[in-house]
Amino acid sequence: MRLIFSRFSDTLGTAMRIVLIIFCILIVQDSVAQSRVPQQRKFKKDSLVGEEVTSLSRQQRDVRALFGQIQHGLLNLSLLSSPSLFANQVSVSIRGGETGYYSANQVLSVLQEYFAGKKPFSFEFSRFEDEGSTPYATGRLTYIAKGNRESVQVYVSLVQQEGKWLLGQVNIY
Amino acid sequence: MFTTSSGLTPAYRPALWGFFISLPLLGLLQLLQVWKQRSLVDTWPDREREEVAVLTSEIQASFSLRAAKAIEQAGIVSTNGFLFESIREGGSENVASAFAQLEEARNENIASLEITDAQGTILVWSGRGSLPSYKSLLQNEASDSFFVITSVGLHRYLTFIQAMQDRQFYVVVNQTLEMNYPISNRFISRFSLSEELSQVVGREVRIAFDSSDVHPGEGWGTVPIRTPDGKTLTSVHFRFPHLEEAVLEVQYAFGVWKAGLIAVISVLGFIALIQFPRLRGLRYGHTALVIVAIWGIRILWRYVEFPSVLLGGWLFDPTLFASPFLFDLTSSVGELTLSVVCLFMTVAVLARRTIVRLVTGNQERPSTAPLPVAGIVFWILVLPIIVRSFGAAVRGFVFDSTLYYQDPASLLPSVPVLLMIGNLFFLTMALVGITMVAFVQVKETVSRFTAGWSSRSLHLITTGLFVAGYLTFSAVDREPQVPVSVLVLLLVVGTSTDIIRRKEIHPQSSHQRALRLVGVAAIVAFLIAAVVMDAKVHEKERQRLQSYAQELLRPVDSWISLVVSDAINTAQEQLRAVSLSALQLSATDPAFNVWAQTLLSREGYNSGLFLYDEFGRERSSFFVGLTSYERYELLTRIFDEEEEELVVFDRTVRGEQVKYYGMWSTVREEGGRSVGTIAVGLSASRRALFRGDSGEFLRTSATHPIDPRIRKMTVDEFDRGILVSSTSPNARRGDLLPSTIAERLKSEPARFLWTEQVEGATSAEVLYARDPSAPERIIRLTLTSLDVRWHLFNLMKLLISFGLLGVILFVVSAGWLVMKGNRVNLGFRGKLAIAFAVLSILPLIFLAYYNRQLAIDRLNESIERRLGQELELVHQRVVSALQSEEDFASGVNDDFCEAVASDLGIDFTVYNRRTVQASSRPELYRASLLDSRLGGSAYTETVLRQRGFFQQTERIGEVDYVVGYSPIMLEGRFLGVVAVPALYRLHEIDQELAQRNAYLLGAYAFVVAITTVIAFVLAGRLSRPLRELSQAARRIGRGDLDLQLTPRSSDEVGELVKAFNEMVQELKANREHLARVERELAWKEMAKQVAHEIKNPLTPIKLSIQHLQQAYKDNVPQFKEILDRVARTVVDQIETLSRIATEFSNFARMPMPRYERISLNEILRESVTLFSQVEGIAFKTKFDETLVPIVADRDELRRVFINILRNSVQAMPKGGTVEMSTRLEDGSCVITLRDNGPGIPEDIRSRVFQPNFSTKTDGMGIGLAISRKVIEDLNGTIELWSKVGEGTTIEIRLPMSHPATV
Repeated sequence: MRLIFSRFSDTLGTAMRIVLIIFCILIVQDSVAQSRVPQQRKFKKDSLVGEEVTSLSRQQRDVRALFGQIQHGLLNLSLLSSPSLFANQVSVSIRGGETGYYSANQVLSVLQEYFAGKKPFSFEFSRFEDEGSTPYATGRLTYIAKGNRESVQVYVSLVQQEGKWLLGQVNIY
Repeated sequence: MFTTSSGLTPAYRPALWGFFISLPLLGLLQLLQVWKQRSLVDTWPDREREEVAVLTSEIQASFSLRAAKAIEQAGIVSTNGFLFESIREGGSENVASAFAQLEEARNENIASLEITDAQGTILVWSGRGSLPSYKSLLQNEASDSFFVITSVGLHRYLTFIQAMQDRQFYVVVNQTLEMNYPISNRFISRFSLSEELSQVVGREVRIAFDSSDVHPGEGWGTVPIRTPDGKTLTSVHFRFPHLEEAVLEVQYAFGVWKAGLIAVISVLGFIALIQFPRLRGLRYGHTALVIVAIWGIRILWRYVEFPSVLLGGWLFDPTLFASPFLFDLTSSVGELTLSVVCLFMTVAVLARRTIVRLVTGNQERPSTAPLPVAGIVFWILVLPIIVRSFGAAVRGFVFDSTLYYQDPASLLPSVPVLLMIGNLFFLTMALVGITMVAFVQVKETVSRFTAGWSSRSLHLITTGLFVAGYLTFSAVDREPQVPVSVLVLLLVVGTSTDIIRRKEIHPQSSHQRALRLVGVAAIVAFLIAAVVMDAKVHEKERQRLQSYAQELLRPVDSWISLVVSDAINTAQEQLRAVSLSALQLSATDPAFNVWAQTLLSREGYNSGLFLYDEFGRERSSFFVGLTSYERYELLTRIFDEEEEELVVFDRTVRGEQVKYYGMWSTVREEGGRSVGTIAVGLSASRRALFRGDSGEFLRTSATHPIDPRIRKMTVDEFDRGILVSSTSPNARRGDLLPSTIAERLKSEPARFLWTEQVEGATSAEVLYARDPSAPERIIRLTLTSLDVRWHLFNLMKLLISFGLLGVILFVVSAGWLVMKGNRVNLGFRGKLAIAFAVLSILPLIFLAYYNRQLAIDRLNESIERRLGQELELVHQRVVSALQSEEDFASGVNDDFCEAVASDLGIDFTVYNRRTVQASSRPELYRASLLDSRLGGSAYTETVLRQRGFFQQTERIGEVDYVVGYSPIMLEGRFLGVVAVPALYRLHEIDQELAQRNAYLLGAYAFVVAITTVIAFVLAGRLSRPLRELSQAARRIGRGDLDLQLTPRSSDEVGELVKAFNEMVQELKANREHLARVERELAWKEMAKQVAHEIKNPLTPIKLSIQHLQQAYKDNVPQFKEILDRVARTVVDQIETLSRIATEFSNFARMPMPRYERISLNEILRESVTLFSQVEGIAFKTKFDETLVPIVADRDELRRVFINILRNSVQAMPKGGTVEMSTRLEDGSCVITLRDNGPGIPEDIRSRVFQPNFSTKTDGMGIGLAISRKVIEDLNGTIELWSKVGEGTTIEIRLPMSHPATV
């Protein structure tokens, strides 16, 4: 009986080690988040504007695809859980709110706080530039807050980081 | 915690009850919320009316309060007859006295207080200027006192006017209602009563100041604002309450309560769960359960937003820190702190058993775990992963944060920084704890394969295994997160753990070992934290520098381009219907009004907006942060380009590369006719508010990539290998790019190239960045390396932070101990060390304070001197340009001031007695940022008293600055006043403090650190003889009289040691004598007892044999029967004799014990079970579950406990309670058995452990004697306390480091 209990106890000991491994993996998750590599985004044919994609340069295609993701992400707020879309340092300027340079991880929380209690109603980039070293786009975001419909202008610009286009600036004014 | 006979702890039942009571409460709260929401929906029209009534009364009350304050202020002035007398009498001194009295009378909440004559001309004033005259207001109003809303520039006031002294004078009280600046930063303090009221009533409110403020439309209500005399002053519009908004408010209010209740429920559930008796019995299962519960609660708290929903503020502000850990557990400083505490608790729970073994000093034991090799592999591979994760976490502390960890101007950290450093401390301590456990575990497992090897060899193998594991991991880890020095420090931890564990210290002094372990862990944790933090801060600086280089290489900033074109569009919309030639210049320029509506102002850029009529004449302009030269060049370049064409060009201004943007456009009427032109210019630079001040963006958050107080940076630009521009004064255009760099840039495709540059004693980090669109364009950023002083200063800052945390932890734990009724025992060494440390740190604190004061005083003196010189310079230039009074009136204008200011590099303003005549920064007055009226004190001193120099501190926004005034005199006649501001004060104080901190405090703090270390060593050495004496006294108490201490000195302590040794010798001699006497007595007693016991059976034998003999003589016919009876009696008595002999033999010679690893708690539980059926006896147990098994004979110990328990039970025939407990104390297992029986009388108390002593009629009376022998054979002690009528306590101490365990 004692032997059985001893075996049981040892098995639990092994189980504890497994728990520790899982725990370590969770910790590692953080480190992975720190040094993440942006995922390769697939080209979306219907992104942003309905132009023939074949006539566009690779930069234009990549930039438009990203603008499309941002547009969609702002409307359903999935952008707030996509750190891989942001550059290392992001300039944020929110009217009547936060202004400054934040890390990709931090900017998510800043935007989450801004959008808390706001439900986006409509958003579309009305003007954009997909060439040059700083592609940008602006559009009007309409949202519902406390039962009232309000709107702000959103400006985003991209920077190239390790060969990938990423969000480098977000201005809400 | 005591457990009852059913095994429950006292905390279990209250926790369980609390848990089950709180659950329905939560349900009730939810029901209440639903009911409240429904009720809100059903009764909304009534509720809406009620809410409107409430907010109407709140808005009116707010105005009434302001009105009452104004009336009160006027009342204060009216009672001062001397004030009016002074004005009436006239003369410089009397009027100056009136100014002083008015200044004294003004409440700080009142914007301005003025006294006018009967015609409304202002005679005396205090505070910011409002209307230049109240003539028209007085003419239109018949009553003696009245309220009115006045408007000056962007300021709006609630003005109260009251007649005094039979209408000879009027007192005017102005209270600010709006300072409607479009931006707000430290130079510009906005104030809006509308916003304040919106905050108070919880919905949007707009005040209708004049007829242009129309009703906002549907969904808005209006409240008329009446003065105390019933006249309508204005009206306030408010947004009607919205049902959805009200429902959200209800949800939020209930959400707060629910979050708090869920947090309480989770904690109660946690306590109940971990104390649940059946679960407590599971060894590893319980540990897993505790960990799962800890993180379950953590995640639950995050989910219900507890405690952020209650506290809020900076603690949960993501702009300070936010990192995306699983389930958003580190989304702010507060959330991170909670998670780090949970992590620390997890590590403590996981490592508890190993830490206890370390603390109690148990030597390593061969591991019995299955798959031992897997265990070794697990640890040597997992530890590097954990170390990497630690580095990544610290990286997050720095990179995902806007906190300034290495602020050079302050020795003490800010509270958020201190909290982050606290998190770093706990995280590092957890890492060090895991490392200690890993070393112990691996070494114990290794010992399984290396029987007979020395501990040193085992240690070397263990260290080698960890190094091999780290190297293996390094091969796959492409981005190491910690420097190699961290690994070295962790190996030091492992070695130290082993040394401390193996060090021979007294078994009862395990707290010393614990203190040493914690001390080593804290020191190594500090060093690791310092190394990793420094590395991460440096890494972030490099990243920021790369971003900065990227910005410099960017030809056009699309955002600023957008801002410029947006400004043009906004201006066109504003001006479309207005002919620019019809614009009238007023107190606020139309250009300023337009500028204020654009992104130029909202984003706070140094910019200008210029309005021209259809004939090209400038009608109005507003600019901020642009010099006349910059404006000239901007406008020239803008109008050189086509309409609405963006102009961008670079300039190097004061060692900084600046980009300028501009655009112009035509304003057209509806019909398309041109009515004028707009031009917009913007400088993307850091620019001072006044010349000479430190550069600063009006955008408050814009930051320089590197703190210029610590590291100097220069920027060079190369085109095709030739220097084309530089911010360095030593560089020359045409210099060539170093050939080695040019080669490397050609061969290496990376966008950035980092190199080191050493010139003499200084070194620098150099970043070369190339423009991807123009590869021949190279930007070079040269950043001076941190010298040793700054490293030292930063190290000391971290040390002070750790020290502060240590003090906080100590105070909290001491408070906790005191609350529990315990005493805080620091020990002699601890007290001595703390006294030394405090004595060395106190001067540092005083020095830091003195240093700051000295810096401020010295700088104030310097500023006053410089201000006087600058004022003198400006004064001379102004006076030298004047030939007559007419020259002053017509020649001293804004252009003149701008020209002189540009020449001298000093901004200044000229006043014509009381208002601004001209300024080198007129835009600041036009925008109402600065008051255009001369302040009361300055007027008194310069105009009335005509003092040559006067200075006073003034305020712009949140910034205090010094202004120097001097009267302008021409041939003895007073013309006006010249004023020079000095805003550089704060910046220079910071700069000075940073330098002093690095040079003086850094070095001194280093000395303090050394002193503190010496203090701790010295305290240890001083208290060492006393500790040795204390340990020796304990050993003597346990009977070891062979020890002798070596006196280490010949002083008083040495004498004490000698006297102690002599005392031990005497004790030994006395004890030996006593033992001899006791032995003799015992033998005598034994002999007497043996004789007595033997005598008892001998008597019946003798009597029987005599009886048999007599029967034989008498030839009794039943002789055979008598023989049989006598024979039986004799045999019986001989058996009794034999039993007596066996009993005594057993006492003298115990059987050979069989040592094995046994659980004391288990044996005690078994023993209690035997007596559990005894009626009337209640058993209470409190077993320390952390007790490690000891080595002893199971049967012997069981007999001991059964014997003691039986004695207790037999002593309480009418029932009672027996309490049993185990605990770990000073390296021994302490077992306490306490009954509330009749107790043992004092006269027999000392004999209970003697053989053959018994108060009972049955038994031999040797049970307790045998028990003592068993315990003493285990190197333990058994002691007894008893009080008649109260009960008896027996305490058994068994050392954990019994030789048999080795």
